[in-house]
Amino acid sequence: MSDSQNRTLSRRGFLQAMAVGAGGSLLAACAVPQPPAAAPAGDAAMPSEEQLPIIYWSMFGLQEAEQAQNQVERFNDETGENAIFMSIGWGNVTQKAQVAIEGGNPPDMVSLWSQAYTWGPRGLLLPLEDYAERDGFDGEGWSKPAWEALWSDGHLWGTGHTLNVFGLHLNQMLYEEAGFSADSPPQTFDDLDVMAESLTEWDDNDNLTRLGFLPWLRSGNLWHWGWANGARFYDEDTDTITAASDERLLQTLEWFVSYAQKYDIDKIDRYVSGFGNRSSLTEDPWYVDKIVMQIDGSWKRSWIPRYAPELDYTVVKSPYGPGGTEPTSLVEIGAMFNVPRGSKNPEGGWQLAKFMAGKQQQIEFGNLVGDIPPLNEAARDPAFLNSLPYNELFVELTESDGGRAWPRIPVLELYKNELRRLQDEAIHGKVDPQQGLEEMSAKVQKELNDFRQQVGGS
Amino acid sequence: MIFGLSRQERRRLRVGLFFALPWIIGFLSLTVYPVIASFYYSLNVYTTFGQPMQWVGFANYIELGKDDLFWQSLYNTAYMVVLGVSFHIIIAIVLALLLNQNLRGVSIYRTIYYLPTIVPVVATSVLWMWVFNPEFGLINSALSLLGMRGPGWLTDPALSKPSLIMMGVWTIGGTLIIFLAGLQDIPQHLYDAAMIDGAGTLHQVRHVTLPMLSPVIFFNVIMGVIRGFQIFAEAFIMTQGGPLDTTLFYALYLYRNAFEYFKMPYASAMAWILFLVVMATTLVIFRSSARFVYYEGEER
Repeated sequence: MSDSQNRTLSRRGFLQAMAVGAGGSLLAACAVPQPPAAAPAGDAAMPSEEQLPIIYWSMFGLQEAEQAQNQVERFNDETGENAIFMSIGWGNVTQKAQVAIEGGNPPDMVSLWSQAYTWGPRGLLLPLEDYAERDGFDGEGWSKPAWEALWSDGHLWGTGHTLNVFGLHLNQMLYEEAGFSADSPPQTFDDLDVMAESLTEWDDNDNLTRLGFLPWLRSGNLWHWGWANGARFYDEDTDTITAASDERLLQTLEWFVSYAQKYDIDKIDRYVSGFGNRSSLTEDPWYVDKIVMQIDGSWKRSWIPRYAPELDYTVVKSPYGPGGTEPTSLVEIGAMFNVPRGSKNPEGGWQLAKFMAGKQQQIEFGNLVGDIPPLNEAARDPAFLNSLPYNELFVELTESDGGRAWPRIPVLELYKNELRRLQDEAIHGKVDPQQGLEEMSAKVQKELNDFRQQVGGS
Repeated sequence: MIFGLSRQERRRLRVGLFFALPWIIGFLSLTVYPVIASFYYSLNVYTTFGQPMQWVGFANYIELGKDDLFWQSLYNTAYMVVLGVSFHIIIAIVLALLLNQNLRGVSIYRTIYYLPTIVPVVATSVLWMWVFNPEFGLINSALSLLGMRGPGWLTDPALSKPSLIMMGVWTIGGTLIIFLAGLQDIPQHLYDAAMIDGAGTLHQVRHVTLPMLSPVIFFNVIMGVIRGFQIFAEAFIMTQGGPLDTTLFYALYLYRNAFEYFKMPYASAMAWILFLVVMATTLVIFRSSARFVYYEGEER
């Protein structure tokens, strides 16, 4: 045996080696992880070595992710940038992005829903109005509610490429079987009440076997029908929650309660509890003749050929209440492209966000998911307009005065949750509608005031 | 001699600490620091990212006292802890007794009962949403064969929590295995002596099995209580806190405040209250354990 083979490692040497190894591991662990660079699309588009990548965290999955990936690749081809698409999934993206932003290592662009109104004023997103002004991104050609939906508290928080718009979906076969004509859809709350009565069926044991209509199914809720009845939820001028002071909202909630009483809320609960997740795209009682009329989003039409190809259906503009004057619909950004604060490449994030809001991207995504392009030029393009039935109807809604935007306030998520709770409690007879509206409004207003005060004082 | 340690002992201590250093660093930075920081946060308000916090003392705690949903969530969670843990312990003991018999293929049965435990909670929740489905679900379909119309398990405010407790039985494999190990540790001669004294099966269970198993029961109760206070995923996935807030559990409400409403200090205050409640409950169980826990060899 040689000397080197005989030599044993001393304890000191072993510990030193361990210390060096541990130190190295620690340093490696502290390094900012970099995702693998996407393959360059071509020599001309190859980014320089110094060029920072643009990390894009997306909520999209499945075929939506595939298309978003294609669009990002096109962006790279056209600009020579190195944008990297990562599908985080809609269930995770908000939480992960929030933690990443607070941890100081956010992506450069992230797709969110209406969270921007909550996130932006809290400093989690980068205001983009200066970038927009520099690049002439001024909302020209955008439908009014869509452009407004990108702003809150005087800041532009992102761009978008689709709008969710809502209409009354009718099971035409059942509707006509009951003696109604699809050419004469319900126009008002009264029409709905009459038709719901005729279309609803019971078995011999007085259990529901079919619901003609129920205001709170699927995308039907106090927001939708409140707007349809002319109610306002928030006064921007006075920064006030107006739910309790607007008689029309009380009237709408009482209309909800009338259905709970008319059909017996216990029987309704039993019947609708079998319908599964209300936001599920695959499970929908409307597909299988359990419900005749319900409010649903523009995306539904893209799913019908896959999950209910035989369904004979019609979509009409939502009926309105005695306080309303025209059909209304929430017009919300389907996916807003935001640049998180702390992004290492905010310019790249903005460029990608702007690109995603381009006409071609809007049309492609609209065709895929059934939502409506915010750019009038894209929405009116035959390539979109002819892709799905009833596109014209939804586009008209975005262009009309009936388009409604969420109250763009930093406590919107709380407002949504509290209004849903109030709706549930009222239809179950747990709270008087007027009292419930007052308590709910006071709670949300207090949170809003506290926020304003804290921001003012910070 | 320093601190009463010889030179060699000090050297060993140094080496021991060195090898434990990765854990110590992790524990200090990832557990101790966040715990202390969360208490500090709970005494502030924090509105805007990157801006300094504002000191408000115990205002968040006082605010919580006035928050109906805080009390509702605390009640819902306590319900799950008290009834859920008791129910699961009883079922696990009964199953462990059955699986402790000398039967052919008993190890297969044990495996079958343990298997659901390794299914992730999300998959379990989705599966049970189907089981509980009032129209097409397994339970109501079975009831309909008997001519009965099953209820809306997750949508009826009176049944939502009991349904989740029932679902929890599916994942008691871990508890069951611990009981099984405890049962197999009970000396046979105690049963022999009891039999000679004329004790039947029930008396043997009452006077031999349960006392000898009491340390294991005690352990499982403590673990169950701690787990029970943290129940989250089932409600988050299956009910979103409904119907009528009957499954709005403490951790779910805490999550909403932290990640939906961005009231991180308020959520931190909630976390500290939960910590104190769990500590107090554990302490009470520990203190009272002398009355019902028997350790072999101790004088009574």
